[in-house]
Amino acid sequence: VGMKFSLSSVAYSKVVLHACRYPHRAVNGVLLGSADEGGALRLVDAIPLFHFALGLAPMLEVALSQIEIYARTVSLQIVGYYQANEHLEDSSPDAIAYRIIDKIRENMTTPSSPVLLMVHNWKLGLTNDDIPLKAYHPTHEGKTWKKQEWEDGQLEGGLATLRLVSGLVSSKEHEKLVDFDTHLNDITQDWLNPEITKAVQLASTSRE
Amino acid sequence: MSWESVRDELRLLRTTGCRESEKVLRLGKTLLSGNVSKLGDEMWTLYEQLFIAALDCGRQLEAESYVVSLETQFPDSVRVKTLRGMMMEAEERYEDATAWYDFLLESETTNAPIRKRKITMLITQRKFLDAIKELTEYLESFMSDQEAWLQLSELHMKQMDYKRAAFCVEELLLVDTHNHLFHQHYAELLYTMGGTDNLDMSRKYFAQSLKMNSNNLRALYGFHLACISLPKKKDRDTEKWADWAEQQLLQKYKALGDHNKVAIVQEMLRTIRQSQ
Repeated sequence: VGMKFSLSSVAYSKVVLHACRYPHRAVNGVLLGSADEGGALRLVDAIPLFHFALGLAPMLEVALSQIEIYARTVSLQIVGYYQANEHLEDSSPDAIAYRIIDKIRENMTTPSSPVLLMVHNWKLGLTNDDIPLKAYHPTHEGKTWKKQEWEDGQLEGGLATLRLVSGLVSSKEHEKLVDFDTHLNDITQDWLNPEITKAVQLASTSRE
Repeated sequence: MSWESVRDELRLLRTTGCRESEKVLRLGKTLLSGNVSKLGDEMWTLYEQLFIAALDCGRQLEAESYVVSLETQFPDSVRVKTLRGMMMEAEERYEDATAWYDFLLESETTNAPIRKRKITMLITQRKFLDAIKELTEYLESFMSDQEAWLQLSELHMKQMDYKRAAFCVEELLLVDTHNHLFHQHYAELLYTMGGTDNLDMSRKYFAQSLKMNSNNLRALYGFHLACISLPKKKDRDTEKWADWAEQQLLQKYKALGDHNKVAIVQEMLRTIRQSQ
């Protein structure tokens, strides 16, 4: 059964676009969200972090610190982590993923546990109708992470969101995805990816 | 984009070795649809570049057409025969590719690219420890191969063996002493390893990197972090240095004209100070 959480179309889009931006590299990022009274998490946004040397400490510290500060300004906090591994057949969390998400859990102020999303490399394709992500929740002692199945309604917009993002990738929108590494290479690049956020929100609301 | 600028961009991608295969194929299509004879002999280098990009994008048929043209033009070329090996790799025929490369190596014992293809196959098959062993051995003969040192460093980082990764970057620093990126990367590894000695070394390497390139944002952030994390000592005025780094950072962000980001960075600098 696992944890209760929902994934917004904006958050989902950025995770997939990040993975598509660097298909030959491992990428990672954090998820921003909030918890309701019942402890269910709403994953609202994703901030892409790195596409090189995912586990190095200094820039990770800088990034997490800035993202936490930003999150507070929009009444959110870092409540999850995502990673896409380099190899097509490797979609399991590794030591780096566990270390980072443990750090995230330490800093969370909600009673719920963080969500760990791994990109399911095999399922990343333009015509796939399955969510190309695997969700993990911590077990009771928090020592291990267990995969949980997606439920209907967990991904905002469901199939329509999958199709929307496939469309974005077809039109090469993933080439515009900015992560913290990109920002560190060029300070003018914005890791908030406001244009992608706008594009996805627009497409999502025009559906309703 | 003019034909010349497309050609120039493809040249730049070749020399920098940036992996932007979709882009390469798009640009290549433009170039080839124009007057190909203008390229002269460069056409063959272009074919090689497009071959690799096509393999990268899973376009086997397109790749096949390029390698066949190259084989027809250069029937005895080992370089082209290596490309044929890459085709086998892309088809996941690793045993065939290994046999092919071993065969080529019989008459080309010191051929570095072929040896590296064999190592790449180990990485593809996730045989990381074997890859590390082979790559380490390769580097004993080819000590100045920067790409190989970087790859080995990455393999160690994946295993979270930062000490060995750092050793690889030390070798890179010997080969290319004025590279600000290597200094910064070395500093990041030292910082990650932790401990006062490593932190102090990382501070020095971040500082060196900044001296070589004052625009290296990672080095600036890293220098600041290292200074803050170090206990103040008689000959180590870390507080003054941290102040300087903060000023530099704020200056850069203010120049952006993005008030939100300035506020975030300002708050981050304040928070980091307080936590020490």
